[in-house]
Amino acid sequence: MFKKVLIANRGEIACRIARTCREMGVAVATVHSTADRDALHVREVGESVEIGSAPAGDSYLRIDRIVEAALAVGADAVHPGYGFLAENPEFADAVVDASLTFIGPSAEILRRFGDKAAAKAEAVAADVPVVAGTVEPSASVDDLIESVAGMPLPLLLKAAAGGGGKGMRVVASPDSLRQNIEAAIREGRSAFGNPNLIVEQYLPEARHIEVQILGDGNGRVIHLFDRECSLQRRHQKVIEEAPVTSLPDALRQEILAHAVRLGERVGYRGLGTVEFIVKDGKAYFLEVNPRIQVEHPVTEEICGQDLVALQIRSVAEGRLPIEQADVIVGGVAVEARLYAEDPDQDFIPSTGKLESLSLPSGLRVDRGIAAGMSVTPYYDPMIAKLIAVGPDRQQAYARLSAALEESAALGVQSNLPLLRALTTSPTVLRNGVHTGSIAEIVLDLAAVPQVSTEEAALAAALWLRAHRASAPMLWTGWNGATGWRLNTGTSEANHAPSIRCASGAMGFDIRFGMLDLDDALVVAANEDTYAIRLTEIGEDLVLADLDGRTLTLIPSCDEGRAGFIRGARGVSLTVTPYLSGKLLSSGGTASGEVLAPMMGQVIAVEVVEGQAVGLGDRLGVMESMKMELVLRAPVAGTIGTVACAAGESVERDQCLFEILADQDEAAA
Amino acid sequence: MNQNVKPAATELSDADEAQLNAEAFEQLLKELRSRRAASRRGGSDAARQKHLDRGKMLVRERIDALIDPGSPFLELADLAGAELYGDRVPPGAGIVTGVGMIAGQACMIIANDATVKGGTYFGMTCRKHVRAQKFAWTNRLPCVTLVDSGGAFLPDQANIFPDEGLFGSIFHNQVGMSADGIPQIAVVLGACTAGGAYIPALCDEIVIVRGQGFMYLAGPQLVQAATGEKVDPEALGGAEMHSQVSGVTDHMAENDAHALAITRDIVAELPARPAPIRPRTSPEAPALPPGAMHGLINRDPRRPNDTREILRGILDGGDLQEFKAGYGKTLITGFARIGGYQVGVLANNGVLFTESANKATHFIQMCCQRNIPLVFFADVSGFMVGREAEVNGIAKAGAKFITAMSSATVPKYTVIIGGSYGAGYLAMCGRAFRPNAMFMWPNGRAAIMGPDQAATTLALVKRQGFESQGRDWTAEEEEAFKAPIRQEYETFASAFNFARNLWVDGVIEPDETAPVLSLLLEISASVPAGPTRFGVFRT
Repeated sequence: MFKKVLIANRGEIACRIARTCREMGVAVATVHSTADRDALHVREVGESVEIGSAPAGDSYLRIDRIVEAALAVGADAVHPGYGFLAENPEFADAVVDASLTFIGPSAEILRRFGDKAAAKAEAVAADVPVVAGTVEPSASVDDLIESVAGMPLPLLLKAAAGGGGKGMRVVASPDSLRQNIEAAIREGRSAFGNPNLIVEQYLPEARHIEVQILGDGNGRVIHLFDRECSLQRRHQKVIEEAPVTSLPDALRQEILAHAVRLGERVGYRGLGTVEFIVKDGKAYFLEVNPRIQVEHPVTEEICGQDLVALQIRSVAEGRLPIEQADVIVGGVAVEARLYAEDPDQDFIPSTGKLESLSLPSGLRVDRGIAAGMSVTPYYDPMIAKLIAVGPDRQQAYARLSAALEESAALGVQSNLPLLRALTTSPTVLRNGVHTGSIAEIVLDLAAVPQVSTEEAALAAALWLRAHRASAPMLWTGWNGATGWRLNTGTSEANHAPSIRCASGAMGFDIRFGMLDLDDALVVAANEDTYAIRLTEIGEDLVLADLDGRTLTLIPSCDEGRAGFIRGARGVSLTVTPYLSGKLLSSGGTASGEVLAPMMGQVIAVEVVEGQAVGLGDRLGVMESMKMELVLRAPVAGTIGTVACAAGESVERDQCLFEILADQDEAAA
Repeated sequence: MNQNVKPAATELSDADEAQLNAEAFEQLLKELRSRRAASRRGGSDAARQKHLDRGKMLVRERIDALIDPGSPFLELADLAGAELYGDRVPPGAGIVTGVGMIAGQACMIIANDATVKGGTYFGMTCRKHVRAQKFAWTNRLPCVTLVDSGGAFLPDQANIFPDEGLFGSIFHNQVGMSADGIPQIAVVLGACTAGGAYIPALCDEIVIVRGQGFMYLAGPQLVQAATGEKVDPEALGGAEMHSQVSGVTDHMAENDAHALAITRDIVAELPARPAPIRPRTSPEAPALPPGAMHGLINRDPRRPNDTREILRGILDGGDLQEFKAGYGKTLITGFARIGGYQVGVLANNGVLFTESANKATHFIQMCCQRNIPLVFFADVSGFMVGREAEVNGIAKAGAKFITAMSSATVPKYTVIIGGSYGAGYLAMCGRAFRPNAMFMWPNGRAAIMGPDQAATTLALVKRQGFESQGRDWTAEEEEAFKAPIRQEYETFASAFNFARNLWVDGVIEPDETAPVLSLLLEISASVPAGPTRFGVFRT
C-alpha cells in the first residue's frame, strides 16, 4: 500500500479522496492555485503545495509542477480525481517517470479512450454496439461537412479529446452546421488542445446509462452495477441515480456484460465508467471515462463499497479487492449536484462569495466549498452533492426532495430551484426521463418568478438596516430618523430610488421612506409599496412586520447584497447604487449595449461597425469556464461600436458592443 | 402687558378638554400638511411633465437620488414665499433647501425647482438661498447647489438686487464659506445666465451636464444684440466648451443621474467632518405617546398651556432635571436630553418676572460655561408690567436675560410652541438673536403684542382722542374699530405667516420637535463653539 498520496485536484473530490486515504492509513497532501489558498480542500487535506496562479492552465493542469509537488511532499502515488489531468496520458507518463504510481489506468489506455474515435474502434472490436457516424477524426470543416453529407439530422459534434460533456454540440439544422463545426473546433482546441472532431448520429430523447467497472490491470474486471444519468443539461449531469430501474433486466444484463467485456479486452486498471446511450430498447457505446466520477457516491450507497478504497487498492495491489459476487445491490440512491449558477442567465456560473450555505443533515453531503468562501470563475462551480438513499426509488427521491427544500445557498445564484423542480417533477418521478427532459422542465420553471417584489422589499429593508446599523449617529444610523422627512400626512416613499436590487434578469428599483418614528419604513420595490417594521429578536433573527403580517427572517446582507432565509426559501439580490450603470449614460434606456455576461475571453467577433443587425443576431462569441457564450443583439439596429476584439480578456459587465437601435424599434 | 386669561366657559373633564383640543389641533395639522404637500409637488403638472420630457429629474428626485440610502432630509423653509407671488408659485419660492447625508457627510443641499417659473429667483428665493447658506456656515456644512434656474425674476428686482441679504449675498457667502474651508460644489443642470452663472463659477468644484447645462454671462440673444456675434448655446457656454476649452467647469456628466453620481464621488473625497465634541448618550423616546401633545395645546389661545407636561412629549424619557424649580416659576429651566444630546431647556410657564429673568441669566451663563446647547420653548405674552415690576427692576433683569442669551455662543434653538409676544419673543431667542434654527408649531403666534392687546391699546388711544375732543364713542363703534385690528394681528401673528416670510425656518408638528432638534443637535455637535464673552450685565 502507498504511504502518501498526492491528490492532484481540488473541491469536493479532493476532500472525498483524502477521507478514504486517512481511513486506509495513507497520508495525503494536495495542491492549490493562488485562487484556492484558503479553499476547503486545502483546509481539509491539511498539507498543500501552491502550484500556480488561478487559471487552471497555470496550476491544476501543470503536469511539471504537480509532479514536483508530489516529490516535494514525499508522496509515492498521485490521485488525479476527475477533470483536470485525470485522463491525461502525458500526466500519467510523467507520474510514472518520476517513479510514482498513477492511481488510474495506464497512459496507454488513457490515450485510447481519450480519443473518441479510437475508443469507438475499441468498442467495435469488443463487440459492443456503437452509434453511426464518422470514423476518422478531423479538424477540417469541409471534410467534416462532406463526411456527414448522407446522415440524417440531428447530428452530434464531439471533440475527439472531449469528455465530461464538454466539447459536444448538437446540430439540428443544415444552416448552422458550418458555424457549429467551427465553434466545436475552437472549443476543442482551447479546452482540450485538440481541434479534431468526430460526428455522430444524435439520438435525442435517449437515456444515458453507465456501468461502473473495476479492473486489476491484468485482465480481471468486475462491475459495480449501473447508474442512470439521463437528467442532463448541456450534456452535464444534474441528477444521477443507481441502480438503473428504467430498463428491462435483460437489457441491463446485456449492458453490464458489454462493459465488463470491454474492460477485460483492454486490461483495464482501477475505476472506470463505460457509458451507453439507450434508445428504443437498444444500447450503444458512448465513451469510457477512465477515472472516478462525480456521481460515484450513488454506487457506493447501494453497494456499500468505498469506491476510492477499491480504486486505490486495485492499483496498489494489482488485484481486485473484491469478487463480483461480493457486489450486492440494496435500495436506490439519488444524487443532486448543487451548482453556483444563474438559472436566469442560461445557467452560466455565478461567481462571488458564498455568504451562507445551509445543507441538511441526515443524508450524505459531499461538499466542495464552505460558507464564507468564494466561487471563482476559474473552476467548476459545484458547491456540493446531496445523496439520498431509500429502499426504493420513490422514497429516495422523496428524501432528496425534502433535503433540497431545507437547503439554502446565499451570496451566489444556485440551481436549487431547478433541483427542487426536478426532484418533484412528475416526469422524473415516473421515470419517464431522457437526456432532453431538463430543457422541458426548465421551461416550466422559467414561468415562476425567482423573487417577488415583496421579497425584494423585505431584502432591501434588511439591507438598509445592516447598512446603517453600525453607525451610531442619528443621521447615518438605523433608528427613528432613518429616511426621516417632514410629515405630509401620507407615508410616501422617496421621490427617487436609492438602490437597485437584482437577481438575474429581475431588477427592482428600491425607494425608501419613513412611515413613522419607530423604525418603520416604507419600502417601494418598483411600483409596489410596503410598510415594513423590523424588530431584532435574537442573533441574526429578525421579525418583519409586512403590512400586518409577521415573518421570521434570517438576514444575510453585505454591502453589495441583500438577502434573507425564510424557512426553506432563500432570497439573495445584488445591490447596486441607484446612480450607477446604464442610468449614467446618455440616451436613457441605452438597451443597445451588449455587456459581457461574465469575465472571460472574447473568442470571435462576428460583426463590424456599421453593420445592420436584427434582434437576436449573433455578434460574437466569448468563452468562460470552458463554455462558449454567444453574444446576441438585444435590439435591431446598426452596430455603433465594436468594443472588443477576438482574444481579448474582458471583465463582467464590460461593454462589448453598442448597437444604435432602429428608430421604430427605439420608439416601441 | 397682562396675561389675558379667561376662565373656561363650562367645566369639562380633563379628558374631554384634551379630546376637543386634539380635534382642533388636527385642523391645524391638516392645513400644515396640505401646505407641505403643495410645496413638495412644485410646479404644475404640465411644467413637471415638460421637465421630465427633457430627460431631466425633478428637483426632489435629484435630492433623493443624491443623498445616501435611508438618509434623513431636514428641509428648511419649505413654506417660504407661500402666496407671495400668486397661485403659480407654490410654497417654497422655487427652491428647495435642506440637509441630507451625501456619501456619509452631512451637506446643505440648495436646489432650484425649474418647474416653478423656470426656477427664477424672487426676492424670497434669494433670502431662502441666503438663509440656507447661513445655516450651512453656522454648522460648517459643505454646500451642494443644484443649479437649474432662469436667473432673477426681473419684476421683483427691488427685492433681489440692491440690498444685503439678497442675490449678491449668495456670492458673498459662497466666497466667505470657501475661505472658511467649507466646500462649495455646484451642479449645473440647466442654463445659468448672467448673475446665475456666478453661482457655480464661485464654487470650488463644478459638475455640468452635456447638452443641458450652460453657463454664460450673456445668452446667445443678448450677445447678438450687443456685438452682432451669432453663436449657438453649446459653443457659447456648453458643457464640452467649458470642460475642455474654457476650463470653467471641472466635471462633465451625461445626464442628471451621472452628474449626481459624480457629485457623490466629489463629496466622498472631501475631508471628513470632525468628531463630535458633544457626546451622545443612548436616546430615549419621550414620555408621551405620539399625538398626546395635541390634547395639551388649548384650542383657545387665550388659555394657558401646561408647558411642563408638554415638555414630557419632547425630552428624552420626558426627563427634565430642573434648575431653581421653586424660584422664578414662570420660566422653567433645566437640563435634559433630546435624541441623546444634552441641552439646556428654557421654557415659559407664564409671564416673565424679574426672578424668572434672573434665573434665565444664571442658567444661560452656566450652559455657556459647560458648552451645552440652549433650547428655548417660547410661549410668553411678555415681561411683567406695572409699578411693582418696574420697582423690582424688571428692565434691568430683562436686559441681563437678553445680554446673556444674545452673547451665548453655544448652539441656540428656538421653538415657538404658543404665543410669543413683544420683548418676551425677543428674550426667548427671537430671530434677531440668530438662533441656529427657529421653528413654530402650527398653533404658534408671534407679534409685538397679542391681537386683543393691540386692539385694546389702539382703542384706548382712540377713545382718549375722542374724549379730549368731547366726542362720544359707543361700545358698538369701539368694537367695529377693534375687529379689523384684531383680525390683522391674528393674520400677522400666525405661524404660516412667519414661515411664509422666512421669519422662522419652518412650521413643525409637536411630534416632529424631538426628531428635528435631535438632527440639528447632532449637526452642531461637531462644530466647535468659541468661548462666550458676555456684554456688560446690569447687576
